[in-house]
Amino acid sequence: MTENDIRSIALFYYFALLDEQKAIEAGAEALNYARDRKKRDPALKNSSAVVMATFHVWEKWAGGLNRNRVVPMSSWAMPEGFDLRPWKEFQRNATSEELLVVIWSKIVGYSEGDIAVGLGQTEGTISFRLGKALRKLGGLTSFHPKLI
Amino acid sequence: MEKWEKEIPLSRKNRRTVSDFFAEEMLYDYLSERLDEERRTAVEKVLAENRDLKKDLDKISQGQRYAESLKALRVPPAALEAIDEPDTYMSVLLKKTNYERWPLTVKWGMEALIVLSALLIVLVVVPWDQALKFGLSPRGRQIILAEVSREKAPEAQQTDGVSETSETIAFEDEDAKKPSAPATVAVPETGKEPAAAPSVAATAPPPAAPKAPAVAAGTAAPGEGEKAPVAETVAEKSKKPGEGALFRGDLAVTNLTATSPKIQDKIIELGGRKAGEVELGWKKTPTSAYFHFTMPEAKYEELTQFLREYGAANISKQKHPRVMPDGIIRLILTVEEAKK
Repeated sequence: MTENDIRSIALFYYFALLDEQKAIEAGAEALNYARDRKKRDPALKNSSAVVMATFHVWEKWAGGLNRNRVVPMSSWAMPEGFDLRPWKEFQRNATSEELLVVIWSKIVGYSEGDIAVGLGQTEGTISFRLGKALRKLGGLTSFHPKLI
Repeated sequence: MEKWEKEIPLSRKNRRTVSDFFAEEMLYDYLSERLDEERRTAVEKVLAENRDLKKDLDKISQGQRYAESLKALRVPPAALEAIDEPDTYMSVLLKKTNYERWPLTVKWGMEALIVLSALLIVLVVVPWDQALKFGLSPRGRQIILAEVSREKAPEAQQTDGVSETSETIAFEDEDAKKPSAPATVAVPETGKEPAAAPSVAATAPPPAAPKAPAVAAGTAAPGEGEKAPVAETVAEKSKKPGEGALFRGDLAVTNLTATSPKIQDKIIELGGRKAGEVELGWKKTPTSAYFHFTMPEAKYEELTQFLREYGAANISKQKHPRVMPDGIIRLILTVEEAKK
């Protein structure tokens, strides 16, 4: 696992959990899991291993996640003037499937093919979920036209 | 099959048109430019006719741009290091037990239980009696000194906190008397021996007497019917090294604080002098006083009578390797507060 993979894991959990501390804890767990997967299957692409690991750990953490909880976040800095409100709202309202594919595909930057391999789904399914999720997210950003 | 294909054309006028419903599902692929030319044209045609679909397309486009802008998040290096940190036994244990998700009250209860267990183990395992003796009591420290002296002199002994060796047979405040040295004491032959001094005459000289000339004349004047004074040499033929004696006893009194100074005064009055290292009446414990002293043997009876006023003194004569000068006895008396 490269530093880029670790950063991808950090980004994933930051936006999925919106909690810095939990992002680190879940990230560490996912990284170990991803490394374990790579040991078992060296041919597996890093991105697919990360998708597999982050999803596996997410399922464990999502059960106890209170999405309505407001967690102050300071050290993980966004560019000045950037508003996270639409994302926070999206994180609260979107389904897990929608939330995760947007993070993997648009924030982390993995291809739909790698995501599909990691989740054991077809590319079409991923594409469909993405379209649905982005429409929802775009609807939220339309209330804040200055954001984009 | 060929017949059916001819009868049911796949598209009208040989063109693959899409409905609004399908066009809506294809919007993301259209935006991603993954549709073939024919599909793209068909979707564009629907978009031109359907405003709602056009709005949906804008939403998807806007959502995509917003999501891609989130990549700009700057992850601190410390967080990356923390994620890459190898697991410790403790962290694995906490993760396995889902400790973070426990209710707060259960967490506190568990922590309190661990702290109490640790305290209990410390209380049970540490030998507190020995620790307190060595840490607080002067006796505890004396015990260590005794061990050192034992190595140097095998015959060294320890008696109630006072170490003794055959080389320092006398107390610091007394003249030493070697066990093998013969002593001559003048004894008036009165025909009666004091009850309290079975082996030594009642007119035994003070402690300096052993250094008197070997043969001294009796002081008693010759009288009628009395025999002439006889100078008797009391060479300690029977006293061999290691055949001394020690008077040891204890006494229970009702008011130790008031009684102890009186006993101390009486001992001094009778010519007693402290032996060993501690003062007369040393507070051995909060409820006991310790008297280690030497005194003329002739005064022993008077002392016991005095002690009877305060209680039944249980004093016994014991064999002891240290040999005292003639006419001098050594006592160890422990006076304790009587139990109510």
